[in-house]
Amino acid sequence: MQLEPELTDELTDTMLMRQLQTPHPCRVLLVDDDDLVRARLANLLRASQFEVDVAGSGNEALRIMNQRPCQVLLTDWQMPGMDGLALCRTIRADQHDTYIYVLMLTVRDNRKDLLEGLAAGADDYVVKGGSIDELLARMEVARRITHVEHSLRISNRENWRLSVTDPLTGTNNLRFLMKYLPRELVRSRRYGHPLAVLSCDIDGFKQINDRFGHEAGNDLLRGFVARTEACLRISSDWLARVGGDEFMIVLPETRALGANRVAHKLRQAYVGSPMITHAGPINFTVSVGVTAVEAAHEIENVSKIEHLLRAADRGLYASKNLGGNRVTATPVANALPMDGGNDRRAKNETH
Amino acid sequence: MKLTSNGQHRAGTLSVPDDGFEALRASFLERLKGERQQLRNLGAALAQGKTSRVPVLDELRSRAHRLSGTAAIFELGGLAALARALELAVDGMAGTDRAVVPRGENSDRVMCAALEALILLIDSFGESLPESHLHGPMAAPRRARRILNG
Repeated sequence: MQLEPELTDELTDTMLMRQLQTPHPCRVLLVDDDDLVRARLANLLRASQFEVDVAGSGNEALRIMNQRPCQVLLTDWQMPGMDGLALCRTIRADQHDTYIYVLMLTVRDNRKDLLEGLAAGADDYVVKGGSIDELLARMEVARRITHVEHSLRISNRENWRLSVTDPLTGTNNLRFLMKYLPRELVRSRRYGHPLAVLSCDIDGFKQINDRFGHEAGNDLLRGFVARTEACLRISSDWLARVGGDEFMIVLPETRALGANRVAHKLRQAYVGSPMITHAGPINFTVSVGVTAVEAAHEIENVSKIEHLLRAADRGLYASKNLGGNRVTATPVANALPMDGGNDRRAKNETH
Repeated sequence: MKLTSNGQHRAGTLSVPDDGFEALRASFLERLKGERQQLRNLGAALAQGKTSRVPVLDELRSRAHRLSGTAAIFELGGLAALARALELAVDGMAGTDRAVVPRGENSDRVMCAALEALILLIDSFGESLPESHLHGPMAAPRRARRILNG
């Protein structure tokens, strides 16, 4: 059943509100050098459904945080060794996966101390001796804020994932390619390691679409991604859909010889092995263009991903021009601009 | 809901179960006996002037600070306030920028008064006191406040 968009929004809003209103799991790291204070506050926090870890000093707190991350840090100021202020500064200086809300609980009750505590990175400052109810209310604020931050972080992560994912096939899209291929190239240049790129598409895809319908065409694209991924090293190789039936495959740490081998394996994976679609089994072939940087001077000269992409595309077009179902290797030097902006012409090697 | 001996709600009445509070506070009051002796020893060391004052003052400040924080958590407001007064008075003797009393003969007198008042208050915990004596800004026994105020 399909819900109206407005109704879906309303339901989402209601769920969000409910999420924000119910107590959420929240781990508190309680830091105080007095064991009785730790015991008393830990009891109170646990009774308010917080998960509690305790530490007797700033150094111990950092050790515990490395093992078990917390959402909220409730810390005393004055402690032997690393004090609460230094702890606070250390936490703010370090990179953490999630935001850590810091509440400083201390007997230091003058304005100068409060300002110093907040400047060190505390989010809230409570003077010991106030009402315990107020302390717990402020801890609820901490829980609420860390939960909102957590929800936003998850939401951002999901938005990012969606923005770099092709919705039809579930593989990476052009945005992913444009973000991560430059990184691969930088790594290749920095360490002098080879890098290969394959450009490939489905031969006669338009005709297949016209004959069998878009649904079958979509099945073909999804099947292509699944079968192609099976030909790649999961740990390092990746592919991205960059157009209707155009895909780029990135093979880090791979020389031209290895890239050719992968391209042929890929081509052969489709020969005589039909793809099951809504319109029944469909036979098709693929064309592939291959390029790689591997020699030191190539790695040094290729500074832009455009050079790699252009070289791989040239190989692909050469394969297509020769009737498809082919692999053509193109040296990356062919795509490097010459003086006056003219591209160097070189022979392609077609198989 | 916990009530004071005179039927008043305890400061910071809780909406959550406060398991173990009385037992923990009893442990704290027990610990105070040893704390009292330590404070006395430090006071004597300062009075005799046989050793360097700096480490003694550091120790005294540290103990007063910790005592103030713990007493506050156990809702012993008077004790917390007196311990805090002692901490600030020691700052005065040590000439730190947090001192509320300028360094000099007067700061010595204030520190000694604060220390004596604190020890007297701790002594009084051995007696049977109504809870109203333990909490709030007026919790310090009158004699202790008289000493502190000179």
